[in-house]
Amino acid sequence: MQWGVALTTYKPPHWDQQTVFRNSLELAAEAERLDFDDIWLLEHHFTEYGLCSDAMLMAGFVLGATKRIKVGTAIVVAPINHPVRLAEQVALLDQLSGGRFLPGFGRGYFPKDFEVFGVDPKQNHLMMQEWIDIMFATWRQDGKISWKSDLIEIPEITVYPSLASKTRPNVYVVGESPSTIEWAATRGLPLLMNVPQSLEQTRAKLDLYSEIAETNDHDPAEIDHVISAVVHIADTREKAFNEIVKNVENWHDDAMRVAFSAEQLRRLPNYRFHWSLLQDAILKGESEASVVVRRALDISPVGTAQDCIEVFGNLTEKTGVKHFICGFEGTFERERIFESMNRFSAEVMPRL
Amino acid sequence: MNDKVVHSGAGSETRTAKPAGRRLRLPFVIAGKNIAAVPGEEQLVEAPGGVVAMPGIGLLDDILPLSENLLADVSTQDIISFLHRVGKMWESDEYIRRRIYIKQMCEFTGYSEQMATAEADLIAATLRGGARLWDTLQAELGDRAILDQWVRREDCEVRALPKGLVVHVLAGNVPIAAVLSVLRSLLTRNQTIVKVASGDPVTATQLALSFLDLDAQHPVSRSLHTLYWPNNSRAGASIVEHADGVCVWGGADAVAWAHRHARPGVDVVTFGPKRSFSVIRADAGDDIKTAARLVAHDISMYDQQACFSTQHVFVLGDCTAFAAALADALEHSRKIIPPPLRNIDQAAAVRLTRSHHEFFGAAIACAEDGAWQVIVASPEHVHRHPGARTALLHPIENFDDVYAAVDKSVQTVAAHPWSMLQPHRDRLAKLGVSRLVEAGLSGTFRLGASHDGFYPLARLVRFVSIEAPSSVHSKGMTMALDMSKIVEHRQFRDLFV
Repeated sequence: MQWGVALTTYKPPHWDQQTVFRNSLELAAEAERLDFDDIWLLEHHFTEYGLCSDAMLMAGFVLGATKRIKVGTAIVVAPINHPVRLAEQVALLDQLSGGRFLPGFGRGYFPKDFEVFGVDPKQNHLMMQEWIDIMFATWRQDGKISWKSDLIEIPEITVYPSLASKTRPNVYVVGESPSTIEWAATRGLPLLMNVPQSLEQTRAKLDLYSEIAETNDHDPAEIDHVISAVVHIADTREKAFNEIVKNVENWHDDAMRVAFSAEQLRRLPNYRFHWSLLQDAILKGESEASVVVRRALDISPVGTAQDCIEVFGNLTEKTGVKHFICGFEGTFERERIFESMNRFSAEVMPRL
Repeated sequence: MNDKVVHSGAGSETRTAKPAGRRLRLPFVIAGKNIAAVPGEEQLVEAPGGVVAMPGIGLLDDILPLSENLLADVSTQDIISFLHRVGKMWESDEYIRRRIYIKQMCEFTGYSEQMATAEADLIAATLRGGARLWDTLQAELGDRAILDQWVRREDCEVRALPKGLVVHVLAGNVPIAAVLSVLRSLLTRNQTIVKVASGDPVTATQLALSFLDLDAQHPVSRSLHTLYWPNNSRAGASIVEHADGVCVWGGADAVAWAHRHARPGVDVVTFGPKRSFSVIRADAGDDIKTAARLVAHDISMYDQQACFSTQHVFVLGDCTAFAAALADALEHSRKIIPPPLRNIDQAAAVRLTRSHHEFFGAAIACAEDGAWQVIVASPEHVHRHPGARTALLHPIENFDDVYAAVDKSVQTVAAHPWSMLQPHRDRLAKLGVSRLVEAGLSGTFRLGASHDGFYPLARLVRFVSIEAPSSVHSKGMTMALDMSKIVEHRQFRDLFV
């Protein structure tokens, strides 16, 4: 099993920005001390939903502040970056950290990102996929790359530095829609997934992934898929739930305020999957934040240590996934976050 | 048509079975749970496209909830709404389960992508058809509310209750049949055990998994169980012995097996084996090209494996012209509905049939790769039908010549023009035909249609009646129904006036 810690950099009303980052860095240090395997950084723009506006930059800082633990991005919004710049940054962090950097990419879900950085959201899925292909081509060819497509033209150049690692680092991708999952599976790229989906939905994703991966000569059992989850430990399940439910609802509300609206999703052909999920939620009468969050927390590792063991054990048994990112920040209280992390490290990790 | 015309086939290649390089692992779905096979304890099933591994049947004693009916108090409205939501998921190209379904159907059941996609669309349409489901209840049970409440029927109030536990033994020839069987069973609130077919283990399994995708805890999800057991196995027999109803699709062997193991009094509902044919008028004034297109569709859908698939075509008028038009239509049809993977036995049967009729001097047109063949044959030279889009054409002088081919094994008679059927429908019905349809609609069961001579929903429920008390006069009666007094006073003449 591999255990990660998410640094959300969410700014609740009672923390100022310095407190958010100070807490994040202390959490990173604590994660290393408690033998977690990795730390994951989230990137957001123009919202207090996450103050980290450059996950690569912050990863560099955290890698420099730690010795052993790996640091990943979950995720960098690939389409708003130049692919050569991404290849440079990943290789640079790979060199500087001695292979401790875990790059993760997504296409993005917040319309302002695309508006401000001048990217057509109708094409962001194609850009994410092509940008990753460009990075791979660069690393495959000792840094040499030239590229011409409908989306981008790159003259013949040599990118420095090259990777320090002998093998290409695992590049993690957010795979929600079947089209993205199929694309990732053809390349054997591990998926970044969330617990809020039901176990069966996660299984369905991995079933589809395996179908495609196998026919492309990738052994699905060897793929390091990652599932992230809100985690909180208390003496009872009820107490754990009640300590975080309102905060998670607020966090979810903040995200929804800046995410694509239902109307925008309906008009974006490349977000049909997300639109159909929303439609389904409406049909089920479960589109309200409070319902979504409560349903998600019901199946999350939130409760006693034993509850967490059962949830993660079941997830591993049913999906085969053995790598998890834990979001411990649900209480928005520094001491409780550290306490929960420590209990998780002492009471859960050794028993799985 | 020349004695033998070979079409080189500009469409897709007809494929013969080549085992898939990998093994497909399919779970059982039991009571809302996805039960994966334990390595070393799997059952290996030979599907048309390769080996499918499923859990061992030994698990069943521990996990099958045979006694509790979770749907007993769920309203029809809730069941139809649930099915509708599942259908909404299936209609989206971006639904993960749909993608998996299409891929597995192509790889392991030998379907072409077009056919598998059409099946996925059909699953979506079938599940989403809420209004049609309500109307089907009305048509087959006499009242759309009869599962939810007591309904007035003459001197009684009647309610339909589920049989209880219904076992469905599926055949692999028509994927949508699996969906229909499950849907009918759940709509009538039965606990539903499905034995998936080795020819198509995918459809029922992925359907059940899609229920779990929506809501694994919903009573509909928890009332559907998909399993597999080898033919004639003791485990399968013991499941049927527990059943309150059995639906069997397919061959005589499966039907006989179900009858052998069902408890006395348990209704064994059988679908098939049946055969179907078309009657075409191809006179100078008739639209031969349209008739050929419609017949080609009835032949091509499900590659002539369905009970409703046209195998023989009786032709009044210019049979040669119709044969040529049908050959063209079948060649066109292969582009729309590419043939599935065929095994060596099927390919051999096709060649054997052609050689057999060549020997008797029949006029034959065929695709070079065996995708289809049109044989103008005398009925006495036909000994068996090989399927695989073989149209056996029989020239006839008048419609009465068709009667010799009719008995109770005939399911569907399709005609073009449809008006031909009108003068003959009574006699065809008396001889045993179940359905009379227009050519091109053999596989489209219209609302209100019977299926193999009965209404399936009525076979999946038991009707319970509350009969009116003595104080209620029956229609036409002028006194209370006090049987003791009636006997005493010898008033039988006043009964049931």
